[in-house]
Amino acid sequence: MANDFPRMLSPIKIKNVSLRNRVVFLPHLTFYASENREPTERHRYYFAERAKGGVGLIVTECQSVHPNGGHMKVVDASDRKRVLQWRDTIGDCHDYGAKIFAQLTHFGNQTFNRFNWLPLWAPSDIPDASVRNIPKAMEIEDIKATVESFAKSATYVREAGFDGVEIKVAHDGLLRQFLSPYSNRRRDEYGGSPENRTRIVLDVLRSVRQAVGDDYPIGMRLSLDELIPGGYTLDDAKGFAVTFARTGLLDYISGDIASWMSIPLMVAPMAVPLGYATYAVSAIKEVVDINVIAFGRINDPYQAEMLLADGHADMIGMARQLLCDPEFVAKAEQGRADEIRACVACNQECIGKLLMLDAIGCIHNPAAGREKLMGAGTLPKTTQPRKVVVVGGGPGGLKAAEIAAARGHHVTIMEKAPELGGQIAQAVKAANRDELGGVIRYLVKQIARLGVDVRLNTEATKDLILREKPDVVVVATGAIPGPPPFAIKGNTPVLFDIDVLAGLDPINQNVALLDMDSHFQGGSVAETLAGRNNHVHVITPTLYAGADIDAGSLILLRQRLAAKSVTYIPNSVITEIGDRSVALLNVLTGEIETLDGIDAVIVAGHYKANDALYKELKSVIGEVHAIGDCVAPRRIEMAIYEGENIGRSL
Amino acid sequence: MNILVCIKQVVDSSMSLAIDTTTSDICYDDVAWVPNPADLAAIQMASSIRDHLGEGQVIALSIGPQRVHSALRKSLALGADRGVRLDAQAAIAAEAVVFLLAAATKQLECSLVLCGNQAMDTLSGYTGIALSVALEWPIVSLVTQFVDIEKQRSLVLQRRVDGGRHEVVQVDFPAVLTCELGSSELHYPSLPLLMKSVTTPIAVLTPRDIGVSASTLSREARVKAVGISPPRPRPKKIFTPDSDLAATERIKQIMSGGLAQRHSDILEGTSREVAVALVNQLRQRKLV
Repeated sequence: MANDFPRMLSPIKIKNVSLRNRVVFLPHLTFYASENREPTERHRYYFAERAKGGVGLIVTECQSVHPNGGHMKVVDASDRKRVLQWRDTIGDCHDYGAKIFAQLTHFGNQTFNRFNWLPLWAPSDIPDASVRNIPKAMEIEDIKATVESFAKSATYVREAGFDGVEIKVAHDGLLRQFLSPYSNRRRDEYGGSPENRTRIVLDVLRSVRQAVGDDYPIGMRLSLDELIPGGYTLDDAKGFAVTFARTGLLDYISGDIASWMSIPLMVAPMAVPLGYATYAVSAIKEVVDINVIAFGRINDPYQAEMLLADGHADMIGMARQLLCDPEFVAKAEQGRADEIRACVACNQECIGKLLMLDAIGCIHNPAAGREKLMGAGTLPKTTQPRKVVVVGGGPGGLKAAEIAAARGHHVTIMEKAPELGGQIAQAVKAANRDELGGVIRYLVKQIARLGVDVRLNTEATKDLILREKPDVVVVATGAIPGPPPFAIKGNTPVLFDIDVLAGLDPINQNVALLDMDSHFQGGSVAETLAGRNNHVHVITPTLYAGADIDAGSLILLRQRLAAKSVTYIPNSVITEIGDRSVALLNVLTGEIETLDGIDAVIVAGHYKANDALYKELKSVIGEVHAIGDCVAPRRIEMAIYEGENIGRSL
Repeated sequence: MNILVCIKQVVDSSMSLAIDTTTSDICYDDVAWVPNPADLAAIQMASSIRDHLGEGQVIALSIGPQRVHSALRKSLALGADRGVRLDAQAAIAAEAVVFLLAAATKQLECSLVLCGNQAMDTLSGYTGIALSVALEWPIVSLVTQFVDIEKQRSLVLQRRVDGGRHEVVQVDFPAVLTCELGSSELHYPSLPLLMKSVTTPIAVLTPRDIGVSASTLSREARVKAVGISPPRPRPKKIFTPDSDLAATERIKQIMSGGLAQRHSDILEGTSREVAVALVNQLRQRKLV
């Protein structure tokens, strides 16, 4: 095969199911299920899009086998009718050449019972620290009922037409909780020794095998190291894996690591290295003879090929990368690997959304979760090519240019800075945020490929734009910081977040950082300042700094900031700047206090729409659109989404 | 008294070998053939026994096509007196090989047979043992050194046993020995022997010449290879945090050393300056 990825693209068999290649769309919660806990049309388009993009195997999000272990937004697999509703999704995936397995679970002490108020079931009455609901320690009858419910759901899965079933013993779920000495403190035959702790999993394996028959693939997603004090380790997991594989009932192990209580390593954000979990997968591959699926920040086909070549795994699993670019496999196959939209692990719209109990998306791929409207094949060529001028080369402007050019319009993009990227070009300079640049790199590559006329160092004035005689102007001029949200009465210098990122920040000083966005604009500027030996006080009106950052990224950020002695003053804003001092208002109590000895004040996440050009052009050009921050300063995903929409509407 | 030494020609495994994807076996089309090193050690030992005996000949015998002549000439250079090729297909079954060797032993009037303990390619160690069974002669396996001859009718030999130890054994003729390459170095052939090895004719016999019919041979092939599968590849070693460490320590180790060690610098300047700085960084890190 004249291709750089002979291993990744080679077929493989799981039991009697042939997969066209070794890329697996790993199971992950989407929260696309209906209020009635059924699969939806959104699921159908979402999975079909990945099948269309060439993936070999899709494993659905976990579905709950028992009412006591469900989640309000996952499919209730204890009900045959609801499982059979997957048929359209399965049919579509098959039509596009992919195979699809269903994952089954019981959430145990990680159950979200807000929808049915049932007590949680767990091995012992130990709550998961992230859920905090005290569960019921299961009686033997409960264990038997759970084992039976796995088998029953598995028969529905087979009846629905899924190609296989996967049992979740992973970062969430009852079965891992039984394996874990942290959550399993039982003294009966289901607790204590490793042999006893694996008993329920073996019971489930046997009953599911009996339910689905010998010819049907059964896989397992297994957390390979809980990474919590008192939890099980990789050495323990190797023992579990060997025990499960030796039964001869299991066809593959899909790697997983950590749990909700060690979430930064479960869905690792960009501060965690690529391929961070390969060591664990490799250790399992070394001890079992069944297929092993790798996972853990794999976002590049060369990385995937190397993992296979080095023998760490038999298949490559990815979730976020395929969320970000469903055509990962197709592009690798067609020699277009450099056009792959790499997941930057920002975690904003995927796991970040889930943690807010909202449906997932992707900052980088506006079509994620909106496949019906924006998926592959929904971007028709225009019949009337127009001359489009895009002003501003930030993410919104770049996306608008890409989509308009892809449709056949003649696009010129004007950017006043010497480089494209807008605020992202600055944001990547912050500590541990460099990977965000992948968003811009992708868009820049696309517009170059599509022949967009890029003019850097070009301040777009009304006259300059009129000289181009455009049919349409898209204004994406972004936002400007300020004005300062406080009275300046003293001589303490005031800077903005972008000044810090541009390198104008103080060194070795005592700095007050007013964090107005409680996201990475504040967080990463705090880290950058602390990295230059400033003593940083983070002042935020929210209950805690970084309140809008996903838990995994935030925990790692706060750990790094703690190591640099950053201090926090929550529930507060700065009302007045004095001489080497600031006045703080506590937004909860109304009290005012003074913070002395402050050498500089930095304001982060406080922006104003830069809409002057839009307003000026509105009366002189027939068709003018404003998108992104120049309408209202928001996050990157919204700018990109608006860019996509405007590109489609032209 | 003649001594028979069985010589197998094997694939030179020090060269890169291609695997035939349909059979999982080695592609034999483009390989180099060499005499099995342990068999050459047997030639040296046989020559030394002959010299102590002061009578008889060392006969190097190989089964196979024309190409095995090179292995026989190497044997002659290391001290064999005669080279005999039994003309047969290269890939006949191991039991058929043993049957042929037993017949040849009798035909060539040998009362001692030496083999290498195992062939470098298949490592099955089958021939010598099976031959002793076929001849109903005693066997001394894993012989590391010839020590002495007692009263012209028995051999004193050193052989390897477990744990790095050696034992000294005595065996009467007739017997089969399997020799280890072990510590015995193959010496360079002397010039006269080298000259002789080039000029000595190689006798070619057919199975029929030693009284074996084709049907007997096919009847003897009782073990068949049903398939060959490559070994489960071991994953490349990568850094793995120690499970004995605390969870926080393991997390720190994962953070600092996955497959991609994380370190970032922002390069600034013109495209040219950035490119130059990047190349310098790559060179510094010895990545290019």
